[in-house]
Amino acid sequence: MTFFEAKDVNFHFGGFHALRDVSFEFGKGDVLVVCGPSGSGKSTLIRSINRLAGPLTSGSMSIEGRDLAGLHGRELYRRIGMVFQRFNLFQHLSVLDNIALPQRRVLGKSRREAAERARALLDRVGLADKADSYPVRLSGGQQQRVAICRALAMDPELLLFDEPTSALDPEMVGEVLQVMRGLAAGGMTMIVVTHEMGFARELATEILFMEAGQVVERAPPAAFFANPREARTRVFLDQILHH
Amino acid sequence: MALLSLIYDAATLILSGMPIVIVLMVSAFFPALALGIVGGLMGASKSRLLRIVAGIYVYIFRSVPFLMFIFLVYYGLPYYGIDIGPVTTAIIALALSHGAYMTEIIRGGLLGFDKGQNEAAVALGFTITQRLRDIVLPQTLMAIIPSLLGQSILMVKDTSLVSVVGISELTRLGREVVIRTNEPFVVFTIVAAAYFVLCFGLEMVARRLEARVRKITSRQ
Ligand SMILES: Nc1ncnc2c1ncn2[C@@H]1O[C@H](COP(=O)(O)OP(=O)(O)OP(=O)(O)O)[C@@H](O)[C@H]1O
Ligand SMILES: [Mg+2]
Repeated sequence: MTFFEAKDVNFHFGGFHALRDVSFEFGKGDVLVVCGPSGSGKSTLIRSINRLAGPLTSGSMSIEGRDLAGLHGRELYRRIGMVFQRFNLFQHLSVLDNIALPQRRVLGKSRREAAERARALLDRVGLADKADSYPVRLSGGQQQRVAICRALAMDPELLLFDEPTSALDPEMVGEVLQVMRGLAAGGMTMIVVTHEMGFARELATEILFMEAGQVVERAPPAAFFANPREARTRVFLDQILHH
Repeated sequence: MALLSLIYDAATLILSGMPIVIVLMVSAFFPALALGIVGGLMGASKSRLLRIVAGIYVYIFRSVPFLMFIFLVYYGLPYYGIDIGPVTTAIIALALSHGAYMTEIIRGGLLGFDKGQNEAAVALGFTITQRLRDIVLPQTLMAIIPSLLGQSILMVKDTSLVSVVGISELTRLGREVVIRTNEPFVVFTIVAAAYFVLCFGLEMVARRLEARVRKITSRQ
């Protein structure tokens, strides 16, 4: 059954046509991996889902049939979480407060409830001992795991990841992917912009390949890697897999 | 012996002007900071109109000598039937003038704020007021604490100008002692030393805070 649907989405940055007639849909619990060359509109696509990019020029996006444009900001952000390439943790707050404060401010939870949830999540990603540290004291991989906890604490229905491992040193990529693997196994619905093709092959329900603001190809990983229909996809895969 | 007792008498009298300097500085500092926060938020906002209003405020107060504002408030307002007395005059003039400098400091801090953290707060569902109160202002103010303390040093020095409206602060007391003793060099040395101790103390606090702030906000 369809959970999320994008229909003929167009998006402009001023005069620049950044998303062109983008349509796709996926079900609850699916992991949609988005890939494509730099500047193809991957970030713009996921940032237009939670309105960080601004309103669409035309077309629509919906969750369980409800148009996202009609949702109040609060409601929209409660349903859709986001994990950023550069973590974007709040620098003046401890790891625990980074995860607890949004729960208190946005969900109206008590200090104790929020802290308990934060601790449980930290424990899950193996960072229970870092609760009182400040973000600057953590490695990139640890910061990204905290950022994932912060998003999860809001109980989103959909989690967006914009290149969650590409700002990390290679030795830290694994620990973050491990956490995401756990999320997928737990049934979390996710859209993941990434060039980690191993991750895509293993966990994606579908892979969406973009170029110049368009969806060029959309297929389950087996078909996507074994026999891509489009020549452009083949060129991209050649580059990314053999370099 | 005569010199020693002169120094002692003069210093005692002059130092009685120290508390009012501190009172003026402290009671003008917080209104100035409030003006600076409002002005800084306006100056860093997306609205062109708000930016222009903040800009006008800043440029007026940066381009006219502080003494003129004291005269304006002290002699100008009573002319319209508003009589507020010298101390209030001094506090208002100090707050308005230094609020303009703080506006610039805070605007700069806000413009330098990490866009990523702001976006993260939006994506988590924070309202704009929550974002400012919980994320943007705490970090911005923490980062500019040293500059704000630097501004408070300038405020201490500007209090010497309010002697013109008859407040018995350090400078005015010093001049009175000079008239009585005819020892300008000794007396003004004492006055200068009093300012130095105050400002140097603030400077030391600023340095120490700066080191601490750097420790918290610096990246690995
Ligand atoms: N704020 C903006 N204003 C104008 N143009 C923009 C803006 N943000 C992105 N663009 C343009 O939109 C296009 C798509 O950008 P986007 O960031 O979505 O690409 P991407 O696929 O995420 O690339 P990358 O792999 O480098 O992250 C690019 O050509 C980019 O220059
Ligand atoms: Mg991108």
